[in-house]
Parts: sequence; C-alpha cells; structure tokens
Amino acid sequence: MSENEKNLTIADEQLMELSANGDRKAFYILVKRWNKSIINFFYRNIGNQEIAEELAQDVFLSIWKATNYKQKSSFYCWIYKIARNKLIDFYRKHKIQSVPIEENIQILETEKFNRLEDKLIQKEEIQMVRDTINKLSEEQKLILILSKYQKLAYEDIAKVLDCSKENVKVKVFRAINAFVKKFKELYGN
Amino acid sequence: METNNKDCQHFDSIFLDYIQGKTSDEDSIFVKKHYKTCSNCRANQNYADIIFTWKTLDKWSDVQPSKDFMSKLQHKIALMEEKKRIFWLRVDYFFSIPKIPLAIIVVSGILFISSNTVYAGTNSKLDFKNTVQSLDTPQVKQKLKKFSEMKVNDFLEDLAKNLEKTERKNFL
Repeated sequence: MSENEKNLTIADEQLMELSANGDRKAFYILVKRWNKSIINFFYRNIGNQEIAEELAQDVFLSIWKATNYKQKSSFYCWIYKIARNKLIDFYRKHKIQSVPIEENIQILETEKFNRLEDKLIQKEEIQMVRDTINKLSEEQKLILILSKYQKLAYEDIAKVLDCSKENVKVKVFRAINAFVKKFKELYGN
Repeated sequence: METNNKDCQHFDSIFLDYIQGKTSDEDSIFVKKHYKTCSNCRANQNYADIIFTWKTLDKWSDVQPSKDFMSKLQHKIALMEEKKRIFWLRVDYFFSIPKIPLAIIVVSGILFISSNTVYAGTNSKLDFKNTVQSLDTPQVKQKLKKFSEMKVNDFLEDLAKNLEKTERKNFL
C-alpha cells in the first residue's frame, strides 16, 4: 500500500488527534480533504469566493490551534460547528456593510455545458438560484446549504445548530417553502 | 400535507428525507413507486415545491479552491507560529534573568522612588521656611506698615507719580 493510499484510509478523527499533537502532515491531509467543502459552505452563504477562502483559512487555523481536541462527536460536525461560528462572527461584523456578491460565476467545465449557449443558460440559472438563496434569512440559508450541498444528516445538522432533530426537519421544510416563495416572487411561476 | 390512506401517510413522512437522499433503499423504491401511482400525492403542491427546490438548487455547482489557497494558509500558519515563538522567547527571557539581582533591582527601585518623594516633601517645606525668614527684616516690615496705613487715594496718587516718573525716564 502506497503512502497516499494509506492516508486515504485514515479517519478524520484520527488525523485530527495527530494534528492536535503537532503532526503537520496529518493537518495538511485534513485541509486537502475538507478545503473544498468548507470554501463552498462559506461561498454559498456569503456569495464571494475571496471572503469564503479567507474564512475557510480561519477555520483551518482554529483547527491547527486546537491542541486539546477530544473526540466527542464526528469530525465533520465539529468542523461545521467551527465554520458556523465563524459565519456568525462574520455576519455580526458586517451587519451594516454589505458584502459584494461576485459577478463572476464559475461554471463547471463538463461536456454537458461545452456550448456557449448552454453555458449562458447555466450561468443565468445559477444567478437565479443565488439571488433567491440570498433573499432567505441567514438561518434558512444555512439550513438549506447544510442539508442540500454539505449533505449532512438531520442529526448532524442538529449538532451543528444545537437543536433537536425534529426541529431541524421542520426548519428544512420551512426553508424549502421560503425558497419556493422567494423564487416565485423574483421570477414568477 | 393532506393525506388519504396509510401509504400516503408513510409517503408524506419520508418524502423530505428521500429528496435529501436520507432514506433506505426500500423506502426510496416505495417513494418512487407511490409518487408514480398516487394521483393525489402528485397533485399535492408541497411535494412539487420540494422537488422543484431540490432540482433548482442542483444547478449551483461547487467552486474550486483558488491555486494559492494552500500557500496563503501556510503563510498564515507561519505568521501565527512566529508570533507565538516571539511571545515565548520573551517569557523565557524574563524567567532567565537571575532572581536575586532582579529582586535587588526591584527593591532598590521602590526605595529610590519612595525616598525621592519624602525628600521632595521636606525640601518644599524648607524652601517655604527660608522664604518666610528672608521676609522677616526691619526694611520689609517698615514697607508693609507704610502700605497698610496708606489710603486708597494716596495709593493711586503714588502709583500715578511712579508711572509719570517711568514715562519721563523713557522719553529722555
């Protein structure tokens, strides 16, 4: 088994314990595993990639500083909890200032969207989704993103948000209804 | 959500989970089958809304981390560690100073400051005493007596005379 394959089999929790003991290599494996998810978590909440990456770096800095890590719950619940707290801090700091939402939309380069026409349609559709999500409340946005894009189970969302599983289920349903309502308001039926 | 029978109730309880990919294989098959065959559930706007939202959200694909993400993070960590290192160096330096000389320096500093305060206090008292003594001469006493006996008009006349004298002196 090569070293890369070996790294793939190590659980996040084990890597985190190693990182907490100063193992730099373990820490960077965790960063490589999680950077995309965390960046996208912030990006979808805030709408600006530069800020999203800075916040993601802050999350990883907190992880590197966490020398007293004890495995109580799964690593991904823990990392999303840190990310959520950073997001709350960010909203608190920028309550008055509005964050510039990027005009430039990244399009996934796949064969499906290789025609210019398709790309434009896709860009427009992403813009519609983004604008609608942006009109939701901070909590509804967070719930939808955790559930849809980060693919967290109800139990895990409940741990991240410090509420019950049933409450999460209700909140997801409400967020969906709010999304449909806003979408219809913005773009009609 | 409106439900008609047991199947519809079960469908309603797991539909949201199914959309999020959180149901077992068995339940997933049930949901697909039920939605195809039950006209009531297909007509329910709530289910249609959930399907619509999930399909719409799918269109927003992930962004890729920028190329310098890792290098920026490494730089931040290096900076943080440097700050930490400097802090501990300072702490180490403080504790590396021998304790007895340090104690002597601190104690002598305290003594110096307190003695200076006492000296300053006695010195100002002495200055006041000397001033009072220097004023205690017959000439000063005579002048003070003359001044106290003077009436206001006399004093003003005297003042005018003195001013005239000075002006004349300046003119010449």
